[in-house]
Amino acid sequence: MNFVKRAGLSLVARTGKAALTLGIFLVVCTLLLGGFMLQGAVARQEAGAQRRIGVDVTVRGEKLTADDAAELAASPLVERYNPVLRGTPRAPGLKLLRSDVPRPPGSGPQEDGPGLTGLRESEMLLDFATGHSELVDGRPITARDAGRRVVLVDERLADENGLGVGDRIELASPDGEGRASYDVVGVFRGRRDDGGGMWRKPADLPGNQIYAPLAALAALRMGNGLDEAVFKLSSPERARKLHAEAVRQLGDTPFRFDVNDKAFQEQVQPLRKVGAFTRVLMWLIAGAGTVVLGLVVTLTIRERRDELGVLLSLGEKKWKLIGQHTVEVAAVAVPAVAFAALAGAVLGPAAGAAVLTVPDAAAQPGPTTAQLPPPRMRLESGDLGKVAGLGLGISLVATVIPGVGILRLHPRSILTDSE
Amino acid sequence: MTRTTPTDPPVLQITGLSHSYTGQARRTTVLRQIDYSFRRGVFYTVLGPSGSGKTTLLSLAAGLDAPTQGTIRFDGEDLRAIGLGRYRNRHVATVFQQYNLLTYMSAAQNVTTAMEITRVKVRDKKARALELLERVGLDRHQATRNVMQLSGGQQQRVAIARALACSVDILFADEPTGNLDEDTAQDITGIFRELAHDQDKCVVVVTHSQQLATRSDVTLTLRKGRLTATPQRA
Repeated sequence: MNFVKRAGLSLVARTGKAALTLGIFLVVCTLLLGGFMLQGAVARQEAGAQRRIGVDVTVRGEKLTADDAAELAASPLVERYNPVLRGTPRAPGLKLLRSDVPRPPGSGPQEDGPGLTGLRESEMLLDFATGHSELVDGRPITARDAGRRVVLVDERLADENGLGVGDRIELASPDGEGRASYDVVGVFRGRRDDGGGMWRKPADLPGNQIYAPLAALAALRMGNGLDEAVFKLSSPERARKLHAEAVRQLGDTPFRFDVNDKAFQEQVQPLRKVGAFTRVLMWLIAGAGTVVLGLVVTLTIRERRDELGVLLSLGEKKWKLIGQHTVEVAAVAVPAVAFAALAGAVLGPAAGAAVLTVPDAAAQPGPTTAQLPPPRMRLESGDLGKVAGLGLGISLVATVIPGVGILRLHPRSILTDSE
Repeated sequence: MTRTTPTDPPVLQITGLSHSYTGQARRTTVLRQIDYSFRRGVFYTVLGPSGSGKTTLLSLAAGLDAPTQGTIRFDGEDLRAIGLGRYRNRHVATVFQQYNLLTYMSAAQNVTTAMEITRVKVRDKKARALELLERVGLDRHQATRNVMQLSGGQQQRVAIARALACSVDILFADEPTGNLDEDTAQDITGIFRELAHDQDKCVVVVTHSQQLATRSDVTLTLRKGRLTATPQRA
């Protein structure tokens, strides 16, 4: 490995040129590292946005059943799902809220019951996801509550009846034949909209809303059908694929397939644009770095033709000549990566804050926007590894391509020109 | 006193050697149908006017270039079979008029580098390099200085020490004393004679110097691409 030793001696003797190469490498590596850190931040931000916001797909159909929804939810495209069934049971022991406006004549038979919604996960309901409803006591209904007779009740209904977490209410089917008791596991503060001066039956008043696990409604004989099923997906692309699966699964059954990706588009698309721009920028930087370093090495090889001729006249192998240049460039690349890492760690967060600032989601109009945490650029070992690998790759390309010239060198043409 | 006799097999045998260069407009033939055999233990000089093909002959014989026609055999084996790179690495060393040293190294490092490249089996390469440099007249202080800090004569001595270090069978030198003062030239000529006569090497020196030629065993003259040999008197 005498070429490694020669590379060391050459570097020590040519400190000026080594410093120039180091400078170029430092700029390239710092920009690349910045790009990788930016990409990492964008990817984390996007993943966070997908996890927090995602895309809601709502499937509705007259013949849609809980089994249909469960089967469609088994698709790997689906992150979470929520089958929803609404009904108006009887609540023998509950005193319901009443509309402040008198009931107009001819408004049909009185249905004196609360609004009951069977579901799988209360947090997936739009009102809870967007903050229009929030738990004030207890816990939400989750998938683990399937089959358990538990309920969430509105704070106003709870206050009216002196209910709290741990209390029990009784519900019955409209015909009175089905009947079951439910434990209150949570109290929530729901929408305050009470009708805007219009009369509403008790089941439609926000204060009379009760949520329970879908399977726990079997005793109330509300049937196996669903009003709708909401599926949470990570991207609009998946929504298109899920539609194809729904068509295949539901066959001739008519259904509506609504995609709500407004919040996703608002939050994720700008991030994706930044990510795509960063990728292009990084390729440009890597390409430009390779070209500049390649030119430097090419000029160096021209300057060192005599040295190459001497080594060739001694019978040195050409690949070792290329190896010497590669080692010289790579030896400069290592400290450059280290300096770039230092610069990235110090400057990265500030640069990220400047580049990755997204609009305040809470300030955006629309029902499904959610606040994302502020983006953070941080130095990760993977990014450093990528920069080191790319730096080494650049040094290889920048030396091997000019090195093709070495392969064509003939010692006689270099060393003897007296004839 | 040479050890070999004309009946010994040649170390280097040139047969039907011709060489041409193709310029922009025409083809120039530099060497024409040269046949000659070089032997171990003999100090040769090659004389001839400028442009006669001396350096071309040396380049071809030293494996720095391949002939357009004819064959060159080392110990009976065609250089094309040996491979020019391997031939240069194992069997020949060349001293150039412009020294051609590695300018970022000391004199000793130039010599040890040559030993490493040619894979000379020496336990202490640095000690051997200092010994060789001392032999060509450079002390330890000079040996450890960067070669660019040495005079032309000292650099030429380094180049010769480098050639000696390679422990080869044939030493070629192209105008090795052209840039040197008379005393230094005499010293270096003495080294060439010693190499041929005491170490049984084949030494081939291209020169314009008649004085150097008179100290060689055989003088070859190139004229218009053709070679004639003149043995010197002992």
